[in-house]
Amino acid sequence: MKARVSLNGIAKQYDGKRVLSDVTFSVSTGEALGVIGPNGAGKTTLLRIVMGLLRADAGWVRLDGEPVASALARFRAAYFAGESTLAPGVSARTWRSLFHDADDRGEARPFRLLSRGTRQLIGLKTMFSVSGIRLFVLDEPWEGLDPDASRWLTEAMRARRDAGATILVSSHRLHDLAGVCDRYVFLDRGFATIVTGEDVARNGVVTGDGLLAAFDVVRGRAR
Amino acid sequence: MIRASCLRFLYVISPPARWMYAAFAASVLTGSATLWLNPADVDSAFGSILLLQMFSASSGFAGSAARGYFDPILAGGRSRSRVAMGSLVASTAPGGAAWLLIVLVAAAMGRAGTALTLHRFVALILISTIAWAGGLALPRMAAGGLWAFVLLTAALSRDAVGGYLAVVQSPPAGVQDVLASAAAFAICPYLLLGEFPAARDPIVIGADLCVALTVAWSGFRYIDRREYSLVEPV
Repeated sequence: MKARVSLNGIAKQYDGKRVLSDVTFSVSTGEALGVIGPNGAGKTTLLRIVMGLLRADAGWVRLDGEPVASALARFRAAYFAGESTLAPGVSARTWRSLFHDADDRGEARPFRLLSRGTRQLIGLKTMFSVSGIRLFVLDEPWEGLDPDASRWLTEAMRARRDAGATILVSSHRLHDLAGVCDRYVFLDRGFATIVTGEDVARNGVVTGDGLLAAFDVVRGRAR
Repeated sequence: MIRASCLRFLYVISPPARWMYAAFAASVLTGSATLWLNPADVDSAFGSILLLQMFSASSGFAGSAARGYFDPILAGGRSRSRVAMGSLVASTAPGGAAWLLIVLVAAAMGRAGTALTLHRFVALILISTIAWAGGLALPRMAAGGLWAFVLLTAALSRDAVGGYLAVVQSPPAGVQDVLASAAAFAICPYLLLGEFPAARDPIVIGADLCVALTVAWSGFRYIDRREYSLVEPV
């Protein structure tokens, strides 16, 4: 399958501290890739490099074989880094109207008056309500969602993936990632290891516990 | 993915404070009253709008961007130049609109010739671009506050005020005078509201327009080249 996202030799450091080192992988059309790692492992940095919000110190990113800026100008991509990135003074209705012409549906209260989970759900639902998106980049999307909303998100991601969209998603909720992703990238101390579903479970049925065990093996902490 | 223009997005996500709109409205009303009582006093009406514009144009772009508020347009395939232009226009539009209203009132009072002079318009452009570009990396309104503090400090020093006035009170005689006048107007654009001889010199005004364009360009470059890390919410 054609690679929609390709990263080669990505390195990034902040104030002399190495965050990412020689990260190389690709994600195909219709594939979901989970990004797993402890806090500070560079997950958010990696996703922001993919979306062109941060520049890598070394290496390159291509989307559909093109540099990020020109590719994003050509096809629709969605990036959501969590409810904290929604401006508190804006209402859900106004937020939605930025993505859809002549659409006045939705909650009229500003985001700051809504619960964290509601904000997260509105942010995600707005993103998934836009048609024709070919790349979803989601940073901790299940964070703050209740079970019903989590189920909705998992199903929405599966549906978009099956329709040919590429999904790059980071999360600490391994059981949720296991329900959506085809492959996983483990980030630890700046280095990335790619793991397939078959690597995690011989029968291909990946569970959260299986992912955690595989991550422990990668980190040399196998029990 | 975003359907809205950069200008609308930025205006919706990071609008000027509500009290700023009220202050501009009050400024237009008092300016209009002043013009009605004394049609020759166009500059006091413009002066209060320039003061508000110093704060309004200082939008604190980087702070909002670091919280991820602008992610949809910064990662949405729009060119950074369009984002920068949207930020500049969204930050300066309320002051520009208030200025335009005063021009219309002045025109209605038969003072269109005074209100539409180039040097007064350059004062608005200088204040808008310098406060905008200077405020990109600072908290909202901080650039306006810093600038106002510098001007107030200078105003309290008789030597500084005397020096500025001496520079602009006579037509520039050479390159050095042109540069000194242009610098004085760039530091204190309020001097362009008078009828100082240097303010009517086309070369000085041209130099100040170049200053404004250079400052705006540096703001565009800042937005274009900046890295957009996410700051953890408090």
